[in-house]
Amino acid sequence: MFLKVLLRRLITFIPTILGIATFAFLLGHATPGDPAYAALGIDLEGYSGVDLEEVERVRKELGLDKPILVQYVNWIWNALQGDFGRSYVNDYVVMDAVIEALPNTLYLLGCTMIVAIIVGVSIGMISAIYQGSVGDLIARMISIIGVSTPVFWFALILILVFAYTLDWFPIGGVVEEFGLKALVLPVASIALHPAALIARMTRSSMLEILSHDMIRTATSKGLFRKRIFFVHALRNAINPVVTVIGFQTGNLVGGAVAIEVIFTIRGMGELLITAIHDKDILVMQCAILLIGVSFALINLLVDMVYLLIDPRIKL
Amino acid sequence: MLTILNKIKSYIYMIFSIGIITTFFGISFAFAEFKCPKTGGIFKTVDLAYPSMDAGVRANPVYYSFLIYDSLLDMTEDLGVAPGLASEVPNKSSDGSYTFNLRKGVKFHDGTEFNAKAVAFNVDRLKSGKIASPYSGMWKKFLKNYEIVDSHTIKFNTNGEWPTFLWDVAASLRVASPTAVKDAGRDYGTKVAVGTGPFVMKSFKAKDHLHLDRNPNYYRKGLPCLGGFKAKLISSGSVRILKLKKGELDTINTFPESQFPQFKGSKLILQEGKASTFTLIPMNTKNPILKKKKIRQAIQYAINGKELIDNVYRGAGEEVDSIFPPWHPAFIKAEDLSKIRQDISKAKQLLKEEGYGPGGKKLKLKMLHGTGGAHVQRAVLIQAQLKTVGIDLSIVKTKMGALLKQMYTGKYELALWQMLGGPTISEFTWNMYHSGGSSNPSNYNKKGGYQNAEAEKLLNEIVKTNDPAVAKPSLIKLQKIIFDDVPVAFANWRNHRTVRNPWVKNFKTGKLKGMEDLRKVWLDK
Repeated sequence: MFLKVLLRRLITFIPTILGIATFAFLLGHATPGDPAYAALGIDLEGYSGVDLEEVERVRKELGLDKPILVQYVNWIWNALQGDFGRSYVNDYVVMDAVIEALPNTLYLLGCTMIVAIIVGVSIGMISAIYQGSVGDLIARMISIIGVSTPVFWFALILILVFAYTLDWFPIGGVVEEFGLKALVLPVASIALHPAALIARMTRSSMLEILSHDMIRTATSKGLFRKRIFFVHALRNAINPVVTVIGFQTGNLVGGAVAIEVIFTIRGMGELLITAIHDKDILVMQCAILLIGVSFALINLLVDMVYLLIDPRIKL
Repeated sequence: MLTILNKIKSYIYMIFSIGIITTFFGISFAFAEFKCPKTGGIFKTVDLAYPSMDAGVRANPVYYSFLIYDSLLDMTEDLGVAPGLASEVPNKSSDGSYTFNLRKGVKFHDGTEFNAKAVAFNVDRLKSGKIASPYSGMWKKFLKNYEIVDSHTIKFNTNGEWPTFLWDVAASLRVASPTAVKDAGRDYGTKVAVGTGPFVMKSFKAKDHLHLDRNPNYYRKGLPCLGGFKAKLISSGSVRILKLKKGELDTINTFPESQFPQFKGSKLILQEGKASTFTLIPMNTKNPILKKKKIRQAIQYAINGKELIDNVYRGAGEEVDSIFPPWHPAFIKAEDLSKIRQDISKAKQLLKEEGYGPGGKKLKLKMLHGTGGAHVQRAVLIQAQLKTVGIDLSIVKTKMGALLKQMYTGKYELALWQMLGGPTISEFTWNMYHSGGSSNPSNYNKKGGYQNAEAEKLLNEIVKTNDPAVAKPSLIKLQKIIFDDVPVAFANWRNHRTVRNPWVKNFKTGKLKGMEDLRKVWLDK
């Protein structure tokens, strides 16, 4: 059953990826600006003259004079072979830059999700178990603040307090440079929002399950509270939480863009932002494609997790 | 008699000795122009818009290139040229050629010898277009050929007039090691960059970081003072300032004026380069409406450059008094500035004469502008200023590359533009207003654009000299014509800014943005 579903989902994955690839290609071409200008370094503010002949020569050299369909087919064919070309603007091999940036983003997002799940589920459960208590009130307040606080603002506040004033952490940087300390503030900034959502979902889902007859039966049978909450209640309450975790993992990619820029982490988000700014379309297309594929893969993974935790679900 | 002879002899010895001592000290002073009070330390900064460290690539800030490479000529603080890898500044010969005598004994960072062949190799690279360089077109167009006279002498023959030749050599002909270029192939500039400059490239990643070590064999003995250089791209403006305040950075160059208040009360030192950037609005004179002089004049009369300086630049700018910036040797304050100052009633009158305004047609125009915060603020303010005279201006936010493309292909009406002031007279005159000018998007004097034969004639005279004293009579006449024809609307001059920590010494903000010389900068930490 599991393998059959996996195979079926993998087949539907192909047109999804092709759609993402087409979107990435067209988006790259739809953005304003001319890559030939950017390649010549005259896409910069304050440049005082343009040699149009030179621009045309570079455009031809980059293959930008060919019909868009030809460019699309060439790009897809090369992408299938893992070749995304060489950046027009920065003259590096696109795949090399992506391979270098991807681990930083995965590291950041992986740590963030672990922290968000642990903190979110814990707060949600405490809040549900001690419903109406001061702890529940504080937990709900924290989750409301977490949901409504913009990521970039929270990141700057954390930097101001913990990195600048208290000097506990570096202002930006990567693990290789500062060790795990470098991850604390970016992870805390980006984990706040998903942790708050997971907490809210865990709380409401747990409260619903805790009101079921089976919980009353389990309590009346004299089962330990720990067993009731963690085995019976949490297991039944976890499905909507997994859905939220899945969505939030995808959304985190968006949050990571801002965080990578603020904390100077050379990840996929920063790479994409720089590429958009530079009109570096090959890097832009590759980054969009990879982010899209990651999102699709996360969705696939969430679906498979559903099947594992509740085999009654039909996909 | 013998005594007299002895006296003469002793006088001769004395004169000879004085001569030797003077010559010795003269030479010593010439070579020891500057002695670093302190050496060592890593200079840390941000801003890394460099795609590659190739000698031919232009990027922002420009001075980064001169950390690795030297040119035949140095650019001086007063915007002149001085000997660099060439032992003296050559004079233009009667046949229009320039002969450079090159310094002997200079080595590239890879240990290979610097000579005339190396210069020729770099000229060929620029001319061939093998590197994507904005300078290629200029070298291709204006340099006829070169002759290697001997191992350390090279002669350049220009194609007709190239009035900015010496400056262009200083600014664009950076000399890379031919051996390193050939060995690195496609990776030259991104993984390897070898020049003769004060610093040696340790590591570089485009839009990420640049690390340099001091070149112990730099041909200017005793320089640079710094032990190394590190630049890291930090996109967030707030993070840059916090890092600077915390002492993790030594300087930052690029920040909006709105951040000025953040430096107040801190130990940071704000340095401004006065009036380095020209804010202007080219008007496409091929457009049937904008071809009419009165319409252009009305637009100029509607604009209040002072209001823009006060509200957008927080006072960090200057009004336009001349077609040159106030620091320029060719600056001549116009006798009549009324034509480029705001005058609402005159603007309305001129529009009325062309049939626009109350009871007439409604004048609708479109202006392209950049995407940055200051670009948007300026555009909105100009839109409001034009509205007061009855011009309905729609503003379109456009990426800089797209804006330049539309301007230079003539597909625009008005464009809000900011250009760095050039050091030479011809950059502000010939290039901006002549039919053959490379920065003349208003199409003034070009085919189909607004014509002024007298201006064209004056420009042809001015281009022959870069000496302000010689060009002064023509410049006064030209300035008057330009302020009357207004092919571009003059808004103002904007200052450029650097903020540094107090331990950074001898850091001079250049007249031109991004032209700082780091060789004599030292850290007093």
